Formats: sequence, structure tokens, C-alpha cells
Amino acid sequence: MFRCRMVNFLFSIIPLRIGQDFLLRKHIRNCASCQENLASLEEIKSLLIQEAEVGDLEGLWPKVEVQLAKEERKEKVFCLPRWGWAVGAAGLLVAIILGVWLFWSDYFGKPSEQLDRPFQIKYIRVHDKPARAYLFQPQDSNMIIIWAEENI
Amino acid sequence: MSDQQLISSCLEGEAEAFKEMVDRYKTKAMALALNVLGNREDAEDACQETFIRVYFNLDKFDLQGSFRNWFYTILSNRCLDLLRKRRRFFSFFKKMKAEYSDRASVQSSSSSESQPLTQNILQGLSPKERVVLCLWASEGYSGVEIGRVMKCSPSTARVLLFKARKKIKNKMEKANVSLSNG
Repeated sequence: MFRCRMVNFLFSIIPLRIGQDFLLRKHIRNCASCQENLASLEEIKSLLIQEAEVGDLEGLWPKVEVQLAKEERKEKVFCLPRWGWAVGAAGLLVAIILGVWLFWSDYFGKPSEQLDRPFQIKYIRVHDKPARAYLFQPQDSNMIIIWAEENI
Repeated sequence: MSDQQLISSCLEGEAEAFKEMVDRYKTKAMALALNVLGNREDAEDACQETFIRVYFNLDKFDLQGSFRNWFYTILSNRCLDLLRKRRRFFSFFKKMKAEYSDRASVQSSSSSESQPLTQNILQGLSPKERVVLCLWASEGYSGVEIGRVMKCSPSTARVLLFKARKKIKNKMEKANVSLSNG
């Protein structure tokens, strides 16, 4: 009896389930005195609703069937936008690639071809009148700066 | 037809096979849900949602495993989810009740008084303890099997069962004392 009280005390102070389970397996499960403090299988069965007491469940399948149909429809509806997004995103990507490609070829052309042709400025006009032009080329540089001034 | 054969038929798209599965498990499911949730409306909802989840997740089920365990895992999770939602709702409801009227409190107290004694005893347990108790008493599951269903260790399952049995014994003794006195 003292041992039972000791085990029950230890059970209440041990916070770990593993420790509690150890006490259960080592003492409580095999101790008649401790088992008396637990509800028996029969007592618990008398408290629980048994399968025979559940009653009529004929209405369950039609409800499940309706719900399944709804869920399947929902899945299809959810599938459409998902595909829509995918197609939209792919279309946008193609449009961006095409746009960049066209912009690139229009504005930058083929750089090697441009280099082949000599670059010439025949005259510069400021306010629709021929301007005075000055060319500067810094020392040791390929850069040429063109300064245009209104011819007053 | 075994569960595994039924599942194979369901996966092949046979609606009749799923209906048979529902027929096979509906009583067990309802008994467990009723015992855990304590009212028929919620129990029916839990069963319905469980069967729908089972249907849409059948392809994920390992045919080598036990369908019954897998089914009870889904069902018990559904019941525990429902109880969690209900608890959240009631905590909100309690706040509202405190702010607005006393009438609701009178109604709720009268409904709890009208609950049968057995239900009161079961409601004194935690939801997990109720699930463990049902699996042990109605299905004859061992600690290891309960652990598999509840996704916890066998030790945890055994401890939960022990605590539930002890609480019930205490409550039954108290109820007997009060009945014999009254």
C-alpha cells in the first residue's frame, strides 16, 4: 500500500511522460490495488456511446455525395485561375523578351556594321541657322567634344 | 472485399466503392465523434468532413498500412479541430455574454444541467483523453496503436489513457456518493 502511494506520488510529480509511463509499466499495470483506482473497461464502455446506439445514419452518404460534388467543382474552379495565371505569366515573359529584342535591334542595330561606316558631321544648326562649331579632343583620348555656338 | 481492395477501386474512380467504404466506417466514425464531441450535429459534421478528406487524400494513403488507423487519425484530428474552434467561439461568446446580457448565461447553465450524467463525466476529460479512451474501449487499441493513430509516442498514449481512467473512476465515485446522498 505504501509502495502504491509512493508510485502515485512520483507519478504526480514527474513531469515527463516517459517517466510516468515507466511507473505505469513497472507497477500500476500489475498492481491490483492501483487498478482498483482506475475505471474498468466495462465501466468505460457503459459510459461511451456504442455503435449500436448511434442511430440512423442513412442521411450521411447523400450529404457526403453532395459535398464531394461541391468540392470537386471547387477544385476545377481553382484550377482555372491557376492555369490562367501560368498562361498570363508565360505570355508576359514572351512579350518582354520580344520587346527587348526588337528595341535592341532597332536602337542599337549591329554594332560591327556601324563601326564600318565613317562617322561624319557635315554641319550643325542652332535655332535653324548654321552654327559655329568647335572641336576639342583631349590629349591621349579618342573622345571628341563638339561645341556648337549660335552664329549671331 | 478488403479495405485495400476498396481503396484500389476508389482510386480507379468507382463511386460505388467509396459509398461502400462510407457504409463500412460510418457507424464507427459516428460513435467516436459522438463520444469525443458530445453532440450529434458536430459529430455529423466531423464524419462528413472526414470522409471528404479521406476521398481527396486516398492517393496519399500507403496501401501497406492500416486503413482503419489512417481513418481514425483523420477523424480524431477533425474532432480535435472542431473542439478547438468551438472553444475559441465560446471564449468569444463568454466575453459577449459578460458585456451584454444575463439571459444567455441562464440558457447555457440550464442546458448544461440537462446533460446526462455520463456525458458530464466524459466532458470532464480533455479532448485527447476522450479520443484515447474511445480507441481503447471501443476499438480495443493498445498504447502502441493509439500512439500511431494520435501521432504520439506509445508512452504518451498510455499515460493519457491512465489519466482518463483515473479521472473517470473519481468522477463515478463522486457521482455515486452524491446519488446515494441525494
